[in-house]
Amino acid sequence: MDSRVKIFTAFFLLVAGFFLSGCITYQISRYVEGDEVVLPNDRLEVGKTTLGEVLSLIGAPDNVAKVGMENLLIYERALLYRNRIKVGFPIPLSSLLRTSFDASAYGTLVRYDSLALFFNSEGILSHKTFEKGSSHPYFKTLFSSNR
Amino acid sequence: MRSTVKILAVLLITTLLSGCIVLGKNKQFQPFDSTELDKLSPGQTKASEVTEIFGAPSEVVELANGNAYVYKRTVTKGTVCWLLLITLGNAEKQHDQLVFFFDLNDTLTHYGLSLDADKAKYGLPR
Repeated sequence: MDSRVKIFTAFFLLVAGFFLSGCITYQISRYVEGDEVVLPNDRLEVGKTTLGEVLSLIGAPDNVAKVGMENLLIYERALLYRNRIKVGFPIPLSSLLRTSFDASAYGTLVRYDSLALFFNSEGILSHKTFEKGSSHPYFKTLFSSNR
Repeated sequence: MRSTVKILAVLLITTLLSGCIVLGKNKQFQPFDSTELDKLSPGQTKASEVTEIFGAPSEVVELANGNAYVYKRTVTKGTVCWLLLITLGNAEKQHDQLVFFFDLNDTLTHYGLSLDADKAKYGLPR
């Protein structure tokens, strides 16, 4: 390639880089709350495991609640992912023109890993439920028709 | 001619990599000391003794057979990196949590402790 063409290409990319800055942006955001939730299935036995054993095994719950005559302990981790693409003119034109071009699209998905443990009034585990929301892939879950 | 190409290449790379990074930390502090747990004995310690040692709880929850006192402190660490066309943001929130369970007579039955606040990290989304 001719050296003049190379210089022109590099100069064009440089100028385009300056002008595109802020024009097209792609944002990737992640937010995590809480530590990893694991279900020690082999050590949690319904009708046998006590509240004390659970607390020494998994630690303090994230939430405690009363459900009827039972107590509920919830261990939870929330994972938020957001992707956003924005296309717009980098220089605000509102002071010069009444119209300005700006378009953006984003998708946010919050997934929860939750372990819920129910204890009867004697402090014995009556039932348990675990959902690993983070195992669902981001794009497939976000664009799935399932609610 | 070659030097011009080199200068333009350096400028191009600099432009493409131009950006900035921000690190932030947010702390919701509660001064409970988990080493004081040795002073407690389930079946004997009263709720008033717990509040005397650990202070006022963040939350009190009414349970089917008593109450739970929750002590919580939180650390959030955030990282944002702006590049020419891409912005990357990451935030991580972790808790230290101490939960005491009392029966209807306000006597301590159980307690649980989780110390995860130190696990909050700076970083980019992955």
